[in-house]
Amino acid sequence: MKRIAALLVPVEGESLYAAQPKVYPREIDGRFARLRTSAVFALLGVFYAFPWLRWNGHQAVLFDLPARKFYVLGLTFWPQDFFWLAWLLMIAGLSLFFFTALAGRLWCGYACPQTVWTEVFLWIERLCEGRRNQRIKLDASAWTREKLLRKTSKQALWILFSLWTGFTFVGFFTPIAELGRAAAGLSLSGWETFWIVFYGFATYGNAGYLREQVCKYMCPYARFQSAMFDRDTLIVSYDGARGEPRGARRRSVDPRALGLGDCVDCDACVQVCPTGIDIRDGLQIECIACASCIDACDAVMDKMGYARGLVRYTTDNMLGGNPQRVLRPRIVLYGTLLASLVATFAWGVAHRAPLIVEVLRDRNALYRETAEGAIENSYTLKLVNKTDRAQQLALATAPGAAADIVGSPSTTVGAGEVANVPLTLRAHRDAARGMHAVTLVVSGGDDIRATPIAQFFVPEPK
Amino acid sequence: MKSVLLGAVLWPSFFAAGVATMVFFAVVDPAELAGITWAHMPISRELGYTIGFFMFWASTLGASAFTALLLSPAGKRRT
Repeated sequence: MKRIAALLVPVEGESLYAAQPKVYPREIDGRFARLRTSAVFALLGVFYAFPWLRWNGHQAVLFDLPARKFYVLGLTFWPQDFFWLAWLLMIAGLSLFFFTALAGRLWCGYACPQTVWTEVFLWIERLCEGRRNQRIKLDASAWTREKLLRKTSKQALWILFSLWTGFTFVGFFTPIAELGRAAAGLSLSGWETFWIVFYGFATYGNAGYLREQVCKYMCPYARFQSAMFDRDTLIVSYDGARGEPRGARRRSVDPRALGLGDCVDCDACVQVCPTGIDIRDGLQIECIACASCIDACDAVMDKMGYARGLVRYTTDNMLGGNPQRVLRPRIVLYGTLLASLVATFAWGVAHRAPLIVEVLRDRNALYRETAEGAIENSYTLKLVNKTDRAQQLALATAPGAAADIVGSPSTTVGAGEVANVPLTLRAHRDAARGMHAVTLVVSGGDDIRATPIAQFFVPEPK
Repeated sequence: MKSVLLGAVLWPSFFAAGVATMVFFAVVDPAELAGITWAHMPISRELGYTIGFFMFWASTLGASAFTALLLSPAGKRRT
């Protein structure tokens, strides 16, 4: 291996957070712009509509924090199911790996909330302030009545949309119908108001002002995505071999006669870029793969009568004239892991225990001796009924246990409720001293059954 | 510059505090935690979550700010 001497030189006066010129992305229509628009409608549609849907008499998706219960469509998740939530996050993370290795920054270009909400804020901006050139002119112009009117209407729409977004967000945690009534009657609680304003403000700031700065400076994914890239990952790229040397020319002229490539140097790809880069400079960390430059360039190529795809989705290998490989070890590994995680999740969630029983020992006394000389231990049983029906539960000890239940306790636990039941175990006369594991059997209807273990203590005989 | 540095400290610490809060309260019920700590004070679950979140955020914020301080070039710190 050849060693290259390198010296780390501190750069004076240059900061990672240098003030950036404002980016005015030009409006664009094309295949990928339409794809993103449908993604915006689908994803934001889900976000804004879901809290309003009902399922079996409750809100279809509700993360009820005060009651410590999550409703997701027909499923109810309990704190004990947190394991599966963590599992779900692992699935989400691995999906990001898988799709990034396969198709690059699909997430950034079409699905990231930053992209999706920025798109909507841009629509509002366009509605109020016009197209790109009009916006640049408006910002540069002096404050006139028209400018004031346009800017005010944009702000009003932005704020309204942000508040609605914050309201919807809180609606995932508080029943949204009640929240709506409270908001209409101006009787929201302090925390509800706080979170609506907080989330609304975050949306307003991120989608209205920070925009591409979030992707460039705040997003961790942009920093580590290159670890998942290889030469077969789908990227948005300019075909330099075909385009260079770039230059303006008339439509009627044969570019080869002028010694020119296909790039007419119209800068359309630069003007539409939401992060303000030039795709012709090669793959850059700022590129969120939104493919706006592809749409822009294709439109120009159509006008010039050239073939489309001077800027296109391609891979490093294809650009270099090498064969493309889709199935490579990385993809197979990520894919297999992802599939097994998803399968385990589906199985695990479907087979969650409907009844959870915890046995808590009496903390005050290790054991108690009755007047007849029998040894007793006391417990509290915590019964969690995770079904949507009330359950009549009977308690017993498993055959061969070292102790018996005193009395014949049985209890009814309401649907989705938690009950604490006191329990006393009495040792058999012949039980040996020391700790015994006593298996309890808690059973109810619908084949519900749990077998928790109680630790039973027998002291030295006196 | 200062304000963006502030963002670089606030945002990751906010995120980490959010994750920590989620993990912690998935296992611990704030109502029970209140019962074994300051039982004489009426602490609702909502207040418990809020206290927990801001406690985590204070810790992560402190750590992030400390890191930012240590990484700032020594010569520039006084300017």
